[in-house]
Amino acid sequence: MTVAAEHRRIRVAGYVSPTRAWLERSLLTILYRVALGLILTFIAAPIVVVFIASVNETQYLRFPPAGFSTRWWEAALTERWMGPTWLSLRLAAVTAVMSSILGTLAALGIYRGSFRGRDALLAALLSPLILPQIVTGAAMLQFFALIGLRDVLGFPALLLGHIVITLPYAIRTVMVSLHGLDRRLEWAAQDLGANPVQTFVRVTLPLIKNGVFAGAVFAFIVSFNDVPISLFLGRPGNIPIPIAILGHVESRFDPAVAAVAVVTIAIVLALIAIAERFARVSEFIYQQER
Amino acid sequence: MRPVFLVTPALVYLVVLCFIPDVIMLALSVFEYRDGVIYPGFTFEHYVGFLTDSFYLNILLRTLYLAFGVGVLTVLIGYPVAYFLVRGRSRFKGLVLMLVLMPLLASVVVRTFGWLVLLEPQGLVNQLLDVVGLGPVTLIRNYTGVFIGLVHVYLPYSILSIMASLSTVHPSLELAAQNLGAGRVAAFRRVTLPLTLPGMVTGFALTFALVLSAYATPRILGGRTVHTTATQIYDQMLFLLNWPLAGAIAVIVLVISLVVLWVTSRVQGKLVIA
Repeated sequence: MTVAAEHRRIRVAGYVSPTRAWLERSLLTILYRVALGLILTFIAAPIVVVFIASVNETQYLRFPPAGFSTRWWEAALTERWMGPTWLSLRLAAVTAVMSSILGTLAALGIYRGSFRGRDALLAALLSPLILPQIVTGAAMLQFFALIGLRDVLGFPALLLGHIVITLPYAIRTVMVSLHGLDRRLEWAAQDLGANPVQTFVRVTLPLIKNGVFAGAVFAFIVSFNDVPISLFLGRPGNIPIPIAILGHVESRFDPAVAAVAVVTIAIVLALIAIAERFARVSEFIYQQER
Repeated sequence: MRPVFLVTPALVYLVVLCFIPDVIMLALSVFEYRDGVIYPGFTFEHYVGFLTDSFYLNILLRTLYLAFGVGVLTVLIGYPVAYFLVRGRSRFKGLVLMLVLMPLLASVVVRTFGWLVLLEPQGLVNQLLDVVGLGPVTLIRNYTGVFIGLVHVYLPYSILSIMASLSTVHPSLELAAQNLGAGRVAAFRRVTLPLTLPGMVTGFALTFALVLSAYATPRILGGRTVHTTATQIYDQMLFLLNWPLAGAIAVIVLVISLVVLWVTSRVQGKLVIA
């Protein structure tokens, strides 16, 4: 067979000449990097501009920025905005604690149990993740109104609703850490005379601490940022910060909201930093999202 | 104590505050509604009304169309990022991962407000378009703005789904294909891409289902002119007080999302949840 024929044969199999391969590779690399850069800019842009807009002098953000001003921050740090922020903070904290308690118990029960319908039970407990949240929120409002409990709207209803949607997260993170638990440690404790409660408090709980903490942090963030549940369960003068922002920006453009937004981001970041001191939370958050 | 009892508090909680309300909503959606008053009964008129009235049907179809477009685009632009995060050898990988996850820490409302700053008639994007001579374009209070905002909000979900899928495909498979004479493009297109199809499908399905019930982004960037299934549920609930119709729309949204997620789960043999 001649060399030319050999080449033709190889080309049929998808062979690419070295020069062409090199060209193809460099062109692709450039294209890929440009695309990546554009997409990452797209991801970062709306968050970055919120930070800039909060200290920008003029109402509309243009390039180059007009100058530095604290007037939006002065408008943001007033009762009008800090009231709802404080409500959200308390709501998220109580939600996180309640979800963690209910979720840790449930995860333990599911993980340790060997009863029939265990998988179905777990699916039921995680189902609020699959149900569209706006449906859950609307259904809860109808429920409270129908059983004559319109008075709970506001903080109590918000709390009840937020626990519903954060419970699955708490259950999942605790389940993950239970997977990594060596049961022999618990058996050893019981062999040494510890009762079930002592075993749980002094052996099991410290071992699943990371998961419990991560679940609580996750519940806090979900509650603090929630829109679809809070939309229906608040009452005038008793609404969380995302709904206060939503109601305001629907009709007008106000850079004070940018400053408020920065405050909410700072609260979440501070919480993660604090939690990280007690447990390796960030790893779980990444796992959780997958 | 028997383990099953530990589950009881959580289960009772969800039954009372989630499952019973859902059943009530289902029941209300077949009740009769006349002149602002709800009467017990059994009628499908709200469902039929929603699915036949051209105003409502238009909202449903436009939302489905929006969800489809957002789903496809998040997968398309999410793929290069996921590929970089799983296969890249750059030292900026950690930074990029943080960048991808960061939006998940901010409320949808905050992220959407960021788009309002950018897309305003006098905002940065229009300033940029003006410079290149594409003139001012109306980017808010219409579907364009809603579309951009939704792609941004749900992009992380697609990236993470594709990453999960990509990390199960061993890099040596692609190298083997190249070793056998395939160019880089061919190796990627014929080996890696088909093997990561499950991740792409999951990302699409998740986004599709989430867009159907997305409220904040359509409301902020769409104003009062853009209606989606989620904004309709809200308006019927709180402005028009037609709870049976709100319930019917909610049930329709619920059924569509569950079907999409269920089909995806069946195809892939695992549960798909947000």
